[in-house]
Amino acid sequence: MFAYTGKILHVDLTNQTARIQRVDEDFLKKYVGGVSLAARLAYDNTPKGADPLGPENALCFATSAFGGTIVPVGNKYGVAAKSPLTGFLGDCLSTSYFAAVIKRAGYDGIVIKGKAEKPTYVFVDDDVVQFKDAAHLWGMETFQTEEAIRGEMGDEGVRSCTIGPAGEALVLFANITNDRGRQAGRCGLGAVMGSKLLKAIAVRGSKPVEVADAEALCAMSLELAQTAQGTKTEKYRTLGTPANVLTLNRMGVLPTRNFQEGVFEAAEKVSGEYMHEHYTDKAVACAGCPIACEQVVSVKDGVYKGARTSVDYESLFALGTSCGLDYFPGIIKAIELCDRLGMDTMSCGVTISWAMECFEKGILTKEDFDGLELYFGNHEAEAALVEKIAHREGIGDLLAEGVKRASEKVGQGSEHFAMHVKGLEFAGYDPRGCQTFALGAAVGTRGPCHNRSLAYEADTHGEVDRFSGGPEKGQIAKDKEEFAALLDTLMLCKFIRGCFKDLYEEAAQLYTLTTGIEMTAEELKEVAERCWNLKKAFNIREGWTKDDDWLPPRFLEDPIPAGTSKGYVVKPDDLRVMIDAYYEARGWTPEGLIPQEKLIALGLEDLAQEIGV
Amino acid sequence: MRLPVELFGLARRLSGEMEVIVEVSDEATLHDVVVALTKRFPAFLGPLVVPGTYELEEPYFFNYDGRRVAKSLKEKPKEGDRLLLFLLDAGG
Repeated sequence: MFAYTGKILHVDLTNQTARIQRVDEDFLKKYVGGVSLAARLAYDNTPKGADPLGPENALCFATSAFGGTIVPVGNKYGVAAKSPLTGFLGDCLSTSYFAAVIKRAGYDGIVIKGKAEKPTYVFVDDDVVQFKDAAHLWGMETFQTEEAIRGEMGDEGVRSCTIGPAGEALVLFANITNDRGRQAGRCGLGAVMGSKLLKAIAVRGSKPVEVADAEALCAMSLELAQTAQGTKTEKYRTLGTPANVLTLNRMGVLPTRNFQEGVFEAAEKVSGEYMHEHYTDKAVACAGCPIACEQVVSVKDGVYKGARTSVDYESLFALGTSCGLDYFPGIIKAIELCDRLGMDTMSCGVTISWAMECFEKGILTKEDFDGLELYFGNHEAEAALVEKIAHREGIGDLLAEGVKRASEKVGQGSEHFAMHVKGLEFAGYDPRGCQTFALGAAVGTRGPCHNRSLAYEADTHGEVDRFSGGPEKGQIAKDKEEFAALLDTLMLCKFIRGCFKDLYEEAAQLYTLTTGIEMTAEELKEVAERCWNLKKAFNIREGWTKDDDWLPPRFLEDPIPAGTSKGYVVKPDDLRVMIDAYYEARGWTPEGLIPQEKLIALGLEDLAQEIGV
Repeated sequence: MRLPVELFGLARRLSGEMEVIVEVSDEATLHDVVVALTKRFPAFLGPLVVPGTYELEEPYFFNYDGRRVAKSLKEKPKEGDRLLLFLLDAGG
């Protein structure tokens, strides 16, 4: 077996034991790796109805065939568990050295179950698994924790994924952090770690990763790396995804003041262009990446002097424009706090912007916010609130539950502008002016996610009329989901997607050269479709119904007030038509359930019995 | 005709301009607009514009006033059109 190890490490925190599950080539070819493999492990190891914050919820990491090899942007891992935020499958991915060392330690995946008696971290040292006391780490921020563990080990090669105070406090959108600033950000998997009293997983891997055809793989990888250093990825190197601020603003779909508007009057001041000129220190690359997209920024003076973090578009919209902030240092500070404290910037920002709207509408008052004047644009109040959320202090305890639960508790009409689907806070594309994405957001298995759907591309690149819904969008949304699912399964960064002439053909070649397992483009398409159905099956088992695939009322009732998307809403009838067309394109029933024969055709016979109709 | 072209991202960085007016013939195509832009900003050649063919590099495209994406550089803009030169991708 090349590239793969055929071993899944199972760790039981309750009994402090570890065992190896052997998996064969057929299994690995079927699930490939990353999000797909992590989802399969989660399905198999988490019982139906498990409490997401209980010991039965399995936290499942998976590398891919490319981890630890020369294949560019292939050092990523997938991680999945039942999400405490949505109650459905939370599937995430993150990047860099931590992914590579898992493979070098000899594992295709790691499954964590149970709950430790006291704060613990797990040290996977090649074949040896140790359970180490984390009392001295409990309370530490994410980066501190990583450095402390590396210091204890006295080995720069030890890589960790950690949680911060937010994960310890079970903030429902706490994240998992590795390699100082790479995050498995969404769905609250950091809270799952916190619920297990698991502060970190540290890994040292010293084994070589052998590939099937090193010479041919090197040649193909070099060519891909050279393309990835060219013009197709120039944007990521120079401005990063913050370049999207001005383009989305110009299209009238930049979420502004909690999606009340699609144009931000101060967009120039929070743009990638402005950031590059005033705050960018350098661009940083993940392990094995020729692109280097991460824009490291710092504040040189003023009240936030010394704040330093990396900024991408989604963090910028959520903690910036959605909160009405036109002061870039304030946004940098808020992102830095989220990163250090271990919280998803997107969910945190969208939750705070909901709270700001509650404040401005008088639903919540200064007293409710412990004295904070939480008007839109108040960066100082935002920074204070980020800290309160991470520690569940005062009003932070409510907001730590995410916008769905918070709005249900507060009521008074605030549900109308709680911008989530399935409990996950919205991504940074207003669906009223991106109506293929409206569909992708409504039906997404983990919620309204641009990274899982990619349907926004059809809107923003002019493949469709972005202002209207229609049945043709069902197939488009499905195809975009599967394109994304393939990248998330192979564990190739999406920023390299433009460097392939034919992703399916070339990825199949890369896979075969790496693993020695024959793979075709058609088979990879099936892998991607299987992955999506597997995730949906998990949700169905947890009680998903058609009603869960819908959008927040604001998008259906409140027209965008200004800009090039002015006047548009997502018409409920159009959304229903698109969803129905999407279910049909997927071969599902009109109720969105998966027929047994569909699951069997995808090789998911065991699921057919359990959730098929 | 005189066409306003708004520049974003790399185009803005290379030109130092947020918006320029391009003068082209009434029969001009978007390709002619690219040629005119490149003549004015030679730094576009390579990172943004393909040398020799004067096609836009693949991630970049024209958008009409933020409402409609140009399908091809063969399209002929009209007097009164406002062009945006940008790209848009996310992920990770």
